[in-house]
Parts: sequence; C-alpha cells; structure tokens
Amino acid sequence: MPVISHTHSFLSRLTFAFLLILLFGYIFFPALQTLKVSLTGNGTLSFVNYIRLVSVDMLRTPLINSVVLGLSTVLVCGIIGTLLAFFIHFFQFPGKQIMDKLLLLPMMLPGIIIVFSFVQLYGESGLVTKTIQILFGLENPPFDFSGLPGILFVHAYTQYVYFYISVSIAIRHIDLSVIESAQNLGASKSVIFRTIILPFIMPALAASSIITFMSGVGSFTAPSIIGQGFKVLTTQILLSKANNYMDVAATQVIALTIICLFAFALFRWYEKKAMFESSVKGVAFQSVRIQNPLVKLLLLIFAWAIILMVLLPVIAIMFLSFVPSDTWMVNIYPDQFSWQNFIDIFTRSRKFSPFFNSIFMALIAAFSGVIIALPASFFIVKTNFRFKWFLEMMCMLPWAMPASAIAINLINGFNQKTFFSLNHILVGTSILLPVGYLVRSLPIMVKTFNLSLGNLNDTYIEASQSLGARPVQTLKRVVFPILSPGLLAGFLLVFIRSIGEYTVTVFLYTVSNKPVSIAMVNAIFEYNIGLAMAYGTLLIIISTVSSFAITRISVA
Amino acid sequence: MGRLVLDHIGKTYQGEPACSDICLKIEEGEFFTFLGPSGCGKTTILRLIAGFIKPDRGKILLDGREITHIPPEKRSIGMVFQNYALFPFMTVLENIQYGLKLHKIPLDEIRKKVNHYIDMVGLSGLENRNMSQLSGGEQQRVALARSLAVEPQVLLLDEPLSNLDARLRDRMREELKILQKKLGITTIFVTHDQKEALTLSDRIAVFNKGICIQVDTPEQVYMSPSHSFVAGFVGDINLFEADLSDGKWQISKDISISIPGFRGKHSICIRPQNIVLSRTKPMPADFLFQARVVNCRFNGMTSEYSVAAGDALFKVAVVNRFESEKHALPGEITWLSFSRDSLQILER
Repeated sequence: MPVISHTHSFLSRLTFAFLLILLFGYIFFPALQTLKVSLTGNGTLSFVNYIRLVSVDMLRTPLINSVVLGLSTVLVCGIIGTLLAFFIHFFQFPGKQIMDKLLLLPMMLPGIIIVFSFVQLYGESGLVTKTIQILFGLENPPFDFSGLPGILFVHAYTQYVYFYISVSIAIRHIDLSVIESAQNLGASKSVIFRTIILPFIMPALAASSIITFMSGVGSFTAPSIIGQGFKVLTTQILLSKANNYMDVAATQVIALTIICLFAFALFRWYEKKAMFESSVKGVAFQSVRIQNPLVKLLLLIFAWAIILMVLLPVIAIMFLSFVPSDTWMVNIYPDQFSWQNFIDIFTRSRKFSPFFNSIFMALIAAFSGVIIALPASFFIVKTNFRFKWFLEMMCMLPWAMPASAIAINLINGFNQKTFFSLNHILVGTSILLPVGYLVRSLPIMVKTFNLSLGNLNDTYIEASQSLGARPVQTLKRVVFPILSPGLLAGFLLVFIRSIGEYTVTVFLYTVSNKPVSIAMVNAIFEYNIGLAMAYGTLLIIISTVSSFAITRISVA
Repeated sequence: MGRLVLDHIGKTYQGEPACSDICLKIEEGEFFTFLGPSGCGKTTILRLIAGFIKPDRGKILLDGREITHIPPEKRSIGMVFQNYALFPFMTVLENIQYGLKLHKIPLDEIRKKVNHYIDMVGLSGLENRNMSQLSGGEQQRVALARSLAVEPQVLLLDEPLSNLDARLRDRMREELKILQKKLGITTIFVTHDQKEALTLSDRIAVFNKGICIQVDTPEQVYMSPSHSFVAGFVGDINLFEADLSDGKWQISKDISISIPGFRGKHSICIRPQNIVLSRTKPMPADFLFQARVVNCRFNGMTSEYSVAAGDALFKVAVVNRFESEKHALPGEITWLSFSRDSLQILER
C-alpha cells in the first residue's frame, strides 16, 4: 500500500493522538469497565461471577445454548448459502441475474422486521401456518415456530447471505483453465469437484462459517422475540441488566465477547495462513447451459420458489401495513385495507416521533462515523505511524463484539463521570444510543474507507500537482472524486445498519429518543400489527433505496 | 507415438467461424507451431485437439485412432496453459503429482517420476513452495513438469512464454527446445511471436481469420511465403501491390522494372535486408534505381532506412559495422539495388 507521508506534521500527530484517545475512550475503556465489573464479586476482586456462570445451571445453559445456536446457524446457513451459490453460478437459466440480486435482499432488511414478518407468516396464527392448517384440515398448527427451530428458521433466512456472497465470489474466481488443466491431466468431473473446486471455495466456507458463527452467537432479536424457553446469553444479558445484576450481565458479556474474539482470532489466523492467491488470468468459470427441457423446467420452478421464499416476508410486511388497527382480530385473513397506518405515522406526532428519532440518530451515527473513520482510515492506509496497528485494532474490535456486549460496555463505561465523556454521565441521555450505533458500525465503515483510500494511488495526486494544480484543486478535482463513492457508500451502510437497529437500541434507548424498532415491538404487543408493519414498510423502502444507491455508487 | 491428424476440422461460434476446414498432419516427435495474430483461431484449434471443445465438422486422429469425441481426460494429450493454470492451493510437488495420482500409479513410481521431472526442469529445492512463492519462470517450469509427468503422447503449449520478460523468454525458449528434442515428444506450440516460431519449430502453420494459410519449415515460411499475409506477418518486409499486365512493375512515374512471365495484379515482396543502399553508384545489379532517404532509425545491429522512389517507400536494413561508417542522411539521394532472386511475387 502506498504511503504518502513519512514525516508527520504537528497537526497530524495531534489528530492521531485525539483519535486514539477517542477510540480508546468509547471502545476499549468501556470494555475494560465491563471486565472490571465482572471481576467484582462481593465488593472485592473475585472470579465468583465466572465460577457461577459455569457452575449454576440457570447461567450455564444460556452459555451452552449460545454456542449451540452459533454452530447450528453455521450448519444451516452453510448448507443453504453454499447450495444456492452453486445453483446460481453453475447453471444458466432465465432470470438468473435478478435472482442473484434478490438473494442479497435479507442483508438489506433490519433484523427486527424479518422476525416480525416471520411471526406473521409462520407463527402459531401466521398466514402460512393457518393456510396449511385449513388446506390439510389440521387441528393444530403443522409446526412450532418458537425456540431453537424457530430461531434457526429466521437465521437461515437472514444469514445464509454470508455463505452465498463469499462462495459466489470464490466460484467467480475459479479460473476455467485450472479446471481444464485438471481435466487435461486425467481428472473426471467428480474428481475435479473434489480436488479443484472444493479447495477453491474452502477459504470462503471457512471465513463465512466464522462470520456466521459470530453473528449467530451474538443474535438477539430472534431469540428475544421467538426464543421462548430457549435462553441464550444475549437475552440473558438484557434480563440481568433489567434486574440490575450488572455484575452478572458483565460476566455474560465477557463470556460472549471471548467466544466471539476466539472465532475472530481464528478467522484472522486462517486469513493469514491458509488463504491462497487466486485470480482469473484466463477465462472465468462459466455456467452450464441445460439442454434437457424437463431439467430446465424443474430448475426454473426451483428458482422461482426460492425467489418467492425470499420475497414473501417483504410482501407480507407491505401487505399487512395496509390493515387498519383493530380490524384484524378474529379472522384468519385480514379483509380491510387502507392507508390509515401511514397517515397516522405522518400526522400524529406520537407515532411520527419514533420514525423521526430513528432517522435522526442514524444520520448522527453516519455523519460522526465519517468524521472519525475517514482520518482513522487515512492513518491506517496512508501513513507509517508507529501505533497505527493499535488504531486499526481499536477500529476493528467492535466487529468481534456482539451488539449486546457493545451496549453493556457503554453502560458500564458511562454510568459515571469520565474523562472521555467530559465529566458527564451519559447513561440515560439521548447521546448514548447514536454512540452505540456508531461503535457497532465503525469496523464496516473503516473497511470501506480503507478500500477507497487504497484506490487513491499517490501518483494521481503527483500527476495533478505536476500539471499545475494547487492542493485545494487536487483535493477537489482528483482526491474527492476518487474517495466520494466510498465515503457515500460507508455513510449509507452505517445509516442502513442503524435505522432499524434493535439490539443496541433495547439496551440504550430512553423515553426521549425511542426509535422505530422499539415502537414496532410496542405496537405488536398492543396488537397494532398494521402500524408495526407500516413502520416496517417505511424502513424497507429507506433501506432498499439506500442499498440501491450504494450499488449504483459502487458500479460508478 | 504421437502422430496427430486434423481432418477438415471446423468450428463456429454464434455464426462466426473460429476455424474452417483445417487439415494438418503433425508427425511423431515434431515441434509444430501454430502462428498467427490474436483471434486467428490458433487457440481454438489447440482446444479442439485437447478436447475442451468439440468441432462442428471434421475428425481428429491420434496415431490413427479417432479421438474427436473422446473426453479430454482420456486423450493422453498434455497442455501447458498461457497462464499456466497451476493449482494455487497446492505446492510444486503436489501440482506435479496431481496427474500421476489420478492415473493410479504406485507411490514409489510417482516419487521417482516427480523427482525426475523436477530435476529435468530445474526445480530441485523448490518442491514445497507455494505457487505465490515462485517467479514467472519457475511457475512455467512447474506447468511444464506437471504436463510432462503424465507422459502424454502430444504436448500442447498455449503461448507459454508470453508472460515472461524478454531475457527469461529467450532462455526458456532454448530450454524448451532442448527438452523437446531430448524427450522426442510431439509438441504443438501456439504463438503470435514470429521470432519464437522461427527459432523453435520444425514446421510452422500460419493462420489468419480461422484459415491455415501455409504449412512449411521456418526457412520456407520466411524465405518463400506462399501468401502476402504470410510474407507480411513473418518478418519485416516491403510489400507492394502491382499490376504486371505489361510485364513491368511501375514503381513510380519514372521508375519501372521488368518482371516478365506474370500477368495481372500481384503482390511483390522483398525483405529489407535484401536491398542494398549505396551513397555512390554501385556495381550493376538486376534492379538499380535512385531514391531519396526519408528517414533513418538506429536499431543497434542494423539501421532501418525509409527510402522513397517516387511514391513507393522502401524499407532497407543496413548492418552497422563501424562507428566511423558514414550513414546516409535524410534528404540524400542514394542508390537502391537488389537481385531478381530476392523478389517474391505472389498472387493477390
């Protein structure tokens, strides 16, 4: 990576120091505070909380369940995501390009929306459940959408994307000539699959397994809403916090963080040791054209079934958003539709304020993210500061922390006056929630900016200078056009991730900044399903438009 | 063994012929080169021979046995790809062993063969290296050893030297030739580099737009091209379109030379090194006329002159012998002479 600065000005040293202090204060210091709280038993330094965590059944079971959930999620999502990637990239069929894009849809949707739409579709009184019950004349619902199977069902929908994306990329990176050379050396199709294609996708499988495991272990939304008897660490952390057992919550957070850090360390180790360089120098892998009309038809039916499965939750949310409150209580299917829920949101301040709060806080998180992540990325990519590794570590650390851990850390860090909060207590104020959003999304923003800055070859700047451009002109005409797509993409990514966020929110929101995800949950528990779905529809529209913008920006 | 016959082979992609009616006989142990510009169909023919694509027409025979519809893995034809196509997740040793293991050869024998070919291509000591730890030349050797280790009857080389720098390419060219002669394996080499083709080959097939224009020895291809395309593609040449209806080549308004025995439009070719440029009137020659120097370019071993006789512009190569030698300057009137034997007159 090119390094453009070898001597550092006072201003850059000052900025670097400020960033280090800021990131230490809001990422590392809160984590240390949580560790300190977890080690405080009976008012003294002790491991009693940890001993209780592994010895008391009630505390140990969620720990085990979390690991079980993480591993099961990897298994289920691995099978679905990998098969879908092979299906899409191995065969040629009409609508393949659209399907490839649609399969990424679950990634754009806030988790809370997906969980609620799944409840409305597959829950005990869900539309799909009831339809099957009526069609087959069943007395009881055909399946139980709760506990581990229910959570896994939601995870299968939301997290197969990790496998799908990375395996798809790996398949696209297989050089056709490598397959042909194996064939030329005597390998049959099955041998080629086993000895060439599988090793090619193994790094992708390993990387997505670890990411999915971390995501599964840290999952909060699905376990909290449909988990019922299946308790996991994330839900228990909230319970401990709600009951003011902060030492227990802190211990659970540390346990969860250690599990994730272990997975993260494994990932980094694998990334460094086992990854091989592969690039398509010849012709990229080409999909197979199916000649048999029957097989072709079956493939098409399967493809459309998948598309329907992916779209169904979104369709359900939009459909139910038009159901007015109190009109769908007894009937199996709603029979009245109107714009009332949307009108209510935009005309009644009590219903509008959560929506406004979410947009406002997501914008704050995204803007402040740019202000922090851009100089941080600059120091990481373009300078040779001695402690830039520490800066990078600080920026990436939240990636290995589940959202609930980030929230508890912030509570433990700022429930007292600190130097980092300018001697203010931040818990209970509106500021802590956008801070939580920011910390949670910082790694993805820094990664995006790192890529953009990596593309900013120093020779562009030198070329501009050699053509007589002043620094401001170079910045405006060369640097900014190269960086702006990445900056905008990073901004929108943080905005999307924050606007419908639920996990950090449930720990950190206050009455004055209640966001839309909490309003949705409240609406559901008040049987105001239409209103919750109307909020969901608005979030889907915002997320889709933003994602579309990101795609366009990336292409540009 | 390894006699390969292409019998009226043709392949079309989306209505566009990639190669048409290709008939070739490649003898056992021969180093045969497919030469032509990019997109002329040479790699398509190589892939047809390897079995990665099927021809629309014609047959391919190896030692008299038809292999047209035999899958690539059963053809006993090895191939070195342009990008080497090495397996990036395997070491040098594993790459070379790969084909041998598939052929279910006993482990002892695999070990012996692998060592033999590693020694042969000069990779000793690098057995456990990953592909990313190898230079371009080393990667090329691994690809070669991997293909040779399974002892194919025919070896196909798809521009294997094109990714190497000039110095390494020269060295690898020599090594490749020595290795091929030592093993006596029938080898088909694809290149667009005429120098490579002329240096390495026993015979060359020159292709253009999917058609085989000429098959001959390097000397014949260079000295006696059968088509103006071959003349223009292989080596530097002066190529003129001329109407010889009256038995004369009208070089310019004032200059014409007598070429009896031809009628109608022809292409006239003459190599730059076959024209003598003199500052004073030389000894009589078959053809001698005055021309004006337009430009002179120093190329090291030779200097290349552009000399105008009326509208006709001749390229002339003059060997640089001594620093004190006086060169003709742009604008200077000089003499050009050449013999009748140095002219190639080709049908248009």
